[in-house]
Parts: sequence; structure tokens; C-alpha cells
Amino acid sequence: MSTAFYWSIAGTAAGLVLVGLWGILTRKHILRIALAFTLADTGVNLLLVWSGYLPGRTAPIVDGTISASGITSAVVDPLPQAMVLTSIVIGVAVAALFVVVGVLASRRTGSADVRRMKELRW
Amino acid sequence: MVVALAVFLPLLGAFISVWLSRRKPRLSVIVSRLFLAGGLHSTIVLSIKLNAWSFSDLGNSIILRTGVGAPPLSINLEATGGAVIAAIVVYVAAILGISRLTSRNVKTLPLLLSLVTASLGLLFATDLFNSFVFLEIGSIITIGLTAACRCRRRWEVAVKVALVSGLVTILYLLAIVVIYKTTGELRFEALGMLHGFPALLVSGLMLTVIMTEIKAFPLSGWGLDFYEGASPGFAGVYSATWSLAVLMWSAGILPRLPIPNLQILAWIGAGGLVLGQFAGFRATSPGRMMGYSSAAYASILLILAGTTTGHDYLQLTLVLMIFAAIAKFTVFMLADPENENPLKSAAGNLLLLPILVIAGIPPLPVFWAKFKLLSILAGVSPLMLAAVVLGLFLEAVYLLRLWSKRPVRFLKNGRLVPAVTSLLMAAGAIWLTAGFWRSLSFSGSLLSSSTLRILFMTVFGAGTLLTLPGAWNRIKGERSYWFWMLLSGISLTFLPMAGNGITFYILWEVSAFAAVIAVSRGSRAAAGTFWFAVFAAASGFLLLASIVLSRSMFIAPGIPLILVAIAALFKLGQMGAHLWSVRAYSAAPATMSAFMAGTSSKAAVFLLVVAALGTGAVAMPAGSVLAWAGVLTALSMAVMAALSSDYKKVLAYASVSQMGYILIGLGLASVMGWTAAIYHTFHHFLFKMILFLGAAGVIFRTGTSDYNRLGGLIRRMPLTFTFTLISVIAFAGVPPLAGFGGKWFLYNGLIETGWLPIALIAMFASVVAFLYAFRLLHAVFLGQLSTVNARVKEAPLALLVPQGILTAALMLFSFRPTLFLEHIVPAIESLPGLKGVAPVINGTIVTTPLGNWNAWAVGMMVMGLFGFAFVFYWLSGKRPKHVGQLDIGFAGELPPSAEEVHYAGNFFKPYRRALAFLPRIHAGKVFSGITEVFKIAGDSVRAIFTGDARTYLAHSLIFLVIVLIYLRGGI
Repeated sequence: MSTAFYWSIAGTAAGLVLVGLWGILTRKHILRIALAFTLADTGVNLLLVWSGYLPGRTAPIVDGTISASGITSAVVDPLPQAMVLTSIVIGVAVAALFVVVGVLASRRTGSADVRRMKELRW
Repeated sequence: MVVALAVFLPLLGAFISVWLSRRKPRLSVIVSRLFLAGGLHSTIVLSIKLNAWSFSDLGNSIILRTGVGAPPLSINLEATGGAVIAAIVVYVAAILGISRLTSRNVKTLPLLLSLVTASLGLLFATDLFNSFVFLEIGSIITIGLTAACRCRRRWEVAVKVALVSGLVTILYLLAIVVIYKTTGELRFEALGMLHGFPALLVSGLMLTVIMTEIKAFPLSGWGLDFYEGASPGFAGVYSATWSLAVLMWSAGILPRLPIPNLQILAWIGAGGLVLGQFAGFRATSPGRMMGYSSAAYASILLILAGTTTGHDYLQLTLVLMIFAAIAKFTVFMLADPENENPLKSAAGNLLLLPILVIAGIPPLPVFWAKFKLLSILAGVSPLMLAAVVLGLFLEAVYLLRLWSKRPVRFLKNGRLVPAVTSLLMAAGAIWLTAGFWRSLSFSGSLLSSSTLRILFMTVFGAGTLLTLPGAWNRIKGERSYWFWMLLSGISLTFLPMAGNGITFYILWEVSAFAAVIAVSRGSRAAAGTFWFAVFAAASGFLLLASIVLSRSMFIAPGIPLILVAIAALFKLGQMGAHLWSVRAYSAAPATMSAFMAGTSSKAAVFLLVVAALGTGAVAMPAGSVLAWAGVLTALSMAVMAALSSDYKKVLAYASVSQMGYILIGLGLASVMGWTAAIYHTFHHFLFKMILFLGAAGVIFRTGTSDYNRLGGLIRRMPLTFTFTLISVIAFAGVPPLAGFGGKWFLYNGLIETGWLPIALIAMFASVVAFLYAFRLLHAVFLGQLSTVNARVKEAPLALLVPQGILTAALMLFSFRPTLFLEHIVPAIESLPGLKGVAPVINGTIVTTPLGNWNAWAVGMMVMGLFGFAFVFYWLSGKRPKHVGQLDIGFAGELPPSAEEVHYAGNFFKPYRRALAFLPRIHAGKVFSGITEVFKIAGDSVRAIFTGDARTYLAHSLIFLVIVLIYLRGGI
């Protein structure tokens, strides 16, 4: 995998995060905000996987192709891959809860516009 | 193993209760309690193993290894002493809060248990990704439990919490990526390995994450909305479980942030504290006030992280955070779940303790930590100290408003929980006070003269004992207050024994706040208590600031001395601060007014004496300023007293006015002036106590303090009249009674120093004093008896006997003032730094450069003349004609009201008209002006909390950008 590709993944991830943040701040519809969150979350997860990637190495699965003795120099860092699984699962849970809360809140206020949910302030 | 049990027992309980709560709801609550109790037991075992209760080695830890190998390959949980104590609080709060939280919806049980696990996991976490998992679990449960109540605004709150925690997740994961990419590690220690750009980026991200999570101003918007909108039951449990865990976790991370100069954290905290509390000053809903108070504690955490390290840091954060959490939990548990406006029907008495704990009043646990923090800040930067003191004062003001404005209706159920937590707080207070006992001193070394010390102790002690019996004669609407009066009196009595600043401050504050509570139990208390509490808090914080600024001395010259002088003036009700004293004296239970005006006001005189002597600057900061303040107050308050027509208000104004003379004496900074001040202090104690106790008797019997409804009581209450008459003569300053002596010394001192304008005004003020003194006698005791009061009895013995004792003392010292002066004058003469000559005492004659005063001879002559006149009158055979009170012709018109024809109504109308040309400066207007400024400041600050959830997200992101720019040193 080329260095260009390596950095383009980082770029894409950062781009996703920025687009997500922009969406969170500018959208008014609560489900769009949820979507923006998911985008940013995906970007962060991509970044997490990227952080463990080491150019020129293979997947961290011990099978016939790599020997157990040389494993530490042959595979990419497995830890971020483990972490990203956790992160994705948590992300899904949060997104689901967010959508539920958002839908119920919009039923309550009669509008999915977050600008109308500011009875509590100051 | 114990660590694992402590963390994961609740989780096991959660799984079981998910299954059980559908089938057997009641059983599931019991089983959950058992699991929590098991977990609590494990944490207690841990705390004993770690010797955490000594609060001295909080860094000790037990490590639970999971997975293989040693860190960084394995994930560990580390139970440190501090975290274990916090964990105990989490468990206790969960156990106590469980019935409240699940009373309507037992399905929330698993969520509560999981929240405990998440909290403990976060407390014991040692690496950043583990923390991330626990943080997420906590946020999800918070959203769930917020939405599970039946509050009207739960969805709005849930959306806001979800949005903010979503953003925090993203920022936190970004920080993790950078840290892992750079160091290959995720333990907290990895933060210290960062350098250069990654360090900068991580610092900014983590600081934003932490400040949003702990709800530090200005990132506190969502937290405020949460505390206001969530159900009180959940808000309470949240603040003592999850919120506490997050604070302790943040306390672990903050000092490790790779920021070159951590002091910036303290500045962010101090600025946030002031601004946030200005906004809090405007909060109206109790939940929101608690939210602002949380923001204050978050700011304090930042200040601690920026200014303290090591052992101090661990100890201070732990004490501050756990006790604030318990207190907040208690406040929320008192709230009524049926009520939209959560705390409206809270139980007043139980509410007070947590409020005082949060406000940091000694000797409650949080005070010790705040005192230590302020002492440290005094060494860091006076500006930061000023900001923190101002912030804490504003917090105290709105907390006291929360307490004083509550309607007195008790929460019917669930008083057990607040009672248990109150016991915990009290135990904490005793535990910490015992720990700090050695730093207290009762050597009395603040005031070198033992004579003066004994004099002040006598005043305080005798004043307490003599007012105490009267506290049992309560009128309708008054609640029992004797305990608080006694407590206030006892701490005052020990005040002269204080040997250092902290001891003095504790006794001062205990006495002040016990008095606030006693006043709040009066029948008309609502109006007076709040302002009293505010001024008590203001003078307390000024005193505290000056004590910590003075370090090893009690009060250092310069700014500390000025602060103390202002504190004392507030306490004395001078220069407009009569606002509180007049309101409080007239609102307080009658005997309490006597205690406050006669006895506890002398504490401020004592403070001024001690501060002046201790700084060596007996010439008080511009003594003439003090004297002018005193004389102007003396005059204006005398006029107010003459024009007022409420028995207690007149006495209150008079009392403030008389304090003015004492100030003039102290301001003179001469032996003569101080003799006048001390002499007047003692005699004012005697006659003001008699007057107020007399008023207490009249009010107790007639039920009113309105002049228009009194009159002619001489025939029903002759003894009270006699005592009042004697003390009126005494304080009017006419020979032969004691008031004359004080004035004589004062004029001597003024003429000696050459302050003639002050002498003239003082003389004029004492003429006005004669006016109100005469009116008082006339309106209450002379004239015709109102038919309403035709059958009233003499005042009860509990009031008469103290008056008798005091009158006897007054007569003794009036005719033989040398008995008093021969002890006092040498003591004052021996004080360092006083100028001028001392009066010479020779037998019964006192000699000053201006002449001789032989009280015995003058007294005998006056008595002889009065006796002669009386005999002459008696022999003349002329007797007054008795008429009814309303037996007055009114020139053919119907009087508009009965009061118009009462001779006491508008008694000094001509003088009022005559004085109308003078500009009127209303102290009330000045203070409401200040309040208005505070309100505007508060409103402009809190305008940033628009209520739109996206604004809160924007706050966090803008804050992040600013921090990054700052850390980079510019764009």
C-alpha cells in the first residue's frame, strides 16, 4: 500500500469528522444531526484503525503465512482493531438511543427542530 | 478480588434485576439492595486495607490485573485510597436513592446498578480507552434515566445530554488516536510522554472533554439544563454517583496534561467561577441553582489542579468533591417528586445543613478544604484569591436564597434519606475538625490585655445567659430558637480566647450563622433573614480573605486591615449596612433581637480592637474616616429612630446609631477615645439588653410592636416601665446615669484631638437620641391605655429577672463608674500605640484635662433634686385627669382612621417637615443599585446559555479552538 493511500485514509477520516461536526452545528432537524454524528463517529473510527496501520505489514492473524517468532514485525498493530470494535459497538448503541430520544422529543414538541427545544435555558 | 467484587457485583445485580424486575418487582429491589450492600462491603474492606480514612496516604493503591502480563499489555483497575472513599459515597448514594428512583418505575433498577458499575469503573480506571468505555456507559445510562422519569421536560434534557456526550465522544476518541499514534500507549502515564504538536493537540482536546464532562463554566450549559429538567430523584443520585466519579477521574487526568504551565487551569477555573456564579446569582429554579453550584465545584477542581500538587491536591479534591456530592444529593432527595418545581416544598430544617456544607461554612467539612485552598491561593496570586472569594460569596448568596425563600412545608415521605446523609456530613465535620484540631488555638493571644479579654467574655457570656430564659416565651408563629441562640452565644463567648486567625474565623462564622438560623425562626422572619444571611456571608468572606492574606499574623496591615474594617462595619450595620440589622432585629424573635443588638454586635467591636492592636496600626486606616462613618451613622440612624413608629425598629435604629459613637472612639486612636469606646461598649450592652428585653415583654404580652397600638402600659407593666425608664435615661446620656460617662470621655477625646466638627455632630445626634428615647417612653408606656391592652399582665419573670439584674448593674456602674474604670483605664493605657493622656482616677473622681467628673456626687445631687420636686408635686395635690385613648375632639370631621387621632402616630411630623429639604440618601437604594449591577452582570453572562443544544456544542468547540491557539502561543 502506498504512502499516498496511507495518508488519503487519514485525510478521508479527518474530512468525515469535519463534515460531521459541521453538520452537528448547522443542521436543525434532529435526525440530520444524528446522521452527522454518525458520520463524525465513522471518521473517528477510521482514524483509530489508521493509527494502528503499519505500512507493508499484514493482518494480525496467526496462520501458516507468518511464523510465531517473527510476528511482532510482520503484522500491523492489533490493538486499535480491538478498540475500534468496541468503539463501533458503543457508537451504534449511542446512535440508536439518540434516534429514539430524538423521535420521542419531536413527538413531544411537535417538531423535529432542535431550536424549539429550549424551554430550559439561562 | 475485592476490587473486582466492588466493581462488578452491581453489574451482576443489574443482569439479575433485568430478569427479576418483570416478574417480582419488589423482590428485585431487595435483591439489588443486597448486591449494592455487598459491593459497599467490598469497598469498605478496601478502604480499611488501604488505610484511606486517615486521609493522609490517599495515593496507596491495590491493582487488579486483567488479562495477561503487566501494563501496558494488560488492562488494569487500580483502587487508590481516594477513589475507594469516593466509591463508598457512590454506593451509599445508590442504596439510599434506590427507593426514590424506582418508586414509579422499577424497570430503571438495572440502569441504576449499571451506573454504579460505570462510576466505579471510571474511578478505578488506569488507561484512557478503558475510561472511554466507562464514560460511554455512563452517558448512555444518564440519557436513559433522564428519559425514564415523568418530568415534563425530560425529552429536551435527554436530547441535550445525548448531543453533548456525542461531541465529547468524538473529541475524546480523537485524543486517543493522537496519543496512541504518538506513544503507542494508552495508560494515563502516556500523557506525560507527549511533546510538541501532539502534546498541544491532546491538551486542548482533553481539556475540552474534561471541562464539558464536569460542567465547568463556560461549558456548563447542558449541565444546568440537566439539573433543572431532570427528576430530582435522578439528579440527586446522578450528582453523588456518576458526577462524582467523573470529577474524581478528571482530577486524576488534569495534572497529567502535557501543558507547560498548569497554572492556566487555575486561571480558567477562577474566571469561570466568578462569571458562572454571577449567572448563578440570577437563577430562580432550585435545580438550576444546584447546577450552578456544580459548575462552581468544577471550577474549583480546575483551580486545585493548577495550583496544588501531590498530597494536598489529593486530599483537597477528595474532601471537596465527596462532601459537595453528599450535600447536593441531600438537597435533591428533599425535593418533592409530585411537584413540577422540584424543591418548593422541601423540608426547611434538613435543607439547611447541605446548603451550609456546599457554601463551606465552618466547621463543616468543605470549609476545611476551602480554607486550605484559599491559603494556598493567597500565596499564588491575590487577584485569583479575590476572584475565588467573590465567586464563593455569590454562590453562598443564591444558596442562602434557596434556603430562606422556601415555604415551610415538609416533605411527607422520605425524610430518612436526608437524615442519614446529614449524619454523614456531621460525622465528616467532626472527623475533619478533629484532624485539624491542632491547627486551632485557644490561647487568647490575639488580644494581649487580659482585662479587655475578660470584659468581652463577660459581655458575651452574660448576654447569652440573660437572654436565654426569655427564649421560652415565644409569641405565636415563632419556632423554638433557644438552641441556636445558645450556640451563637457560646461561640461568641470563646471568641476572645481565639489564639489564631482560623480559630477566630470559625467562632465568628458559627456565631453568625447560628444567629441567622435563630432569626429565621421568628414570626416575621422572611423579610429579614435573607439580608442578614447575605451580610453575614459578606463579612465572613471579607474576614476570611484578610486572614488568609495575612498568613502567619492575625491581620496584616494594608489591604487585610481594610477588609477587616469593612467586615466589622457590615457587622455593626454602619454606613448603610443597617439595611440588614434593622430588618433582622425587627424580624427576629424578640429575645433574639436583644441578644443580637446587645451582645453579638460587640463581636465587631472586638474584631476592630484586635485588628487595630494586632497590626500595630492602632491608628486605624485613616481613623478619621472611621470616625466620620461613625458620626454620620449615629446622626442619620438617630433621625430614622425618631421618625419610625415600630418599637423594635426604633430600638434597632437606635442600636446602630449608638454603635457609631463606639466607632468614633476607636477612630480617635487615643487613650481617651478608646476609653470612651470600651466604656460605651459595656454600657451599651447593659442598657440595650434592658430595652430589648423590655420590648420582648411588651410584644409577648400585647402581640404587637406598633406604637399606634400601644400606650399607657405603665399601669399594666410597671416593672418593665421602670427598667425601660432607667435605661432610656442612661442611653440618652444625661447625668447621673451611665450614658453620660461615655459621652463625656468621647467629647474629651474629640476636643483633645481637635476634631470639633465631629464633636458638634455627635452632640446634635445625642439631642436627636433624646427625641426618640422620649417618644419611646411616651408611646409605649405613657398616655392612655388602649382598650385592647386593658387586661395585659406584667412581663413574665424570665424577662423581668434578667432586666432586674442588668438594671442593678447599670445603677451600680452609674453611681460608681470608677469600679469599672479603675480596671479598664490601666488596661487601655498599657496598650501599645495609643496617643494622648489617660483620665486619672482618684477615689470616686475621674479627672481629665477638661475637668473632674464625680459621678457619686452628681448622682446624689440629681436624685436629691428629683426627690424634692417629687415631694413638692405630691404635696400640691394636683392629679392628672384620665381620659380614654380616643377621647379627642376632631373639629366636626370624621377622622380618616383611628391612627390619625392616636397621639403617637406621626409624633415628630414637624421635624419630618423641617428636615424635608435635606437630600435623602436611602441605603436601600444604594444596595438595590448594587444588586441591580450584579443582576445585569449575571444576565449578560447567562445569555450565552441560550437553551439551544447546538450552542452548547459550539461553546465546547470554540473553547477548544481558543485553548489550542493559546497553547500554540498565537495563530
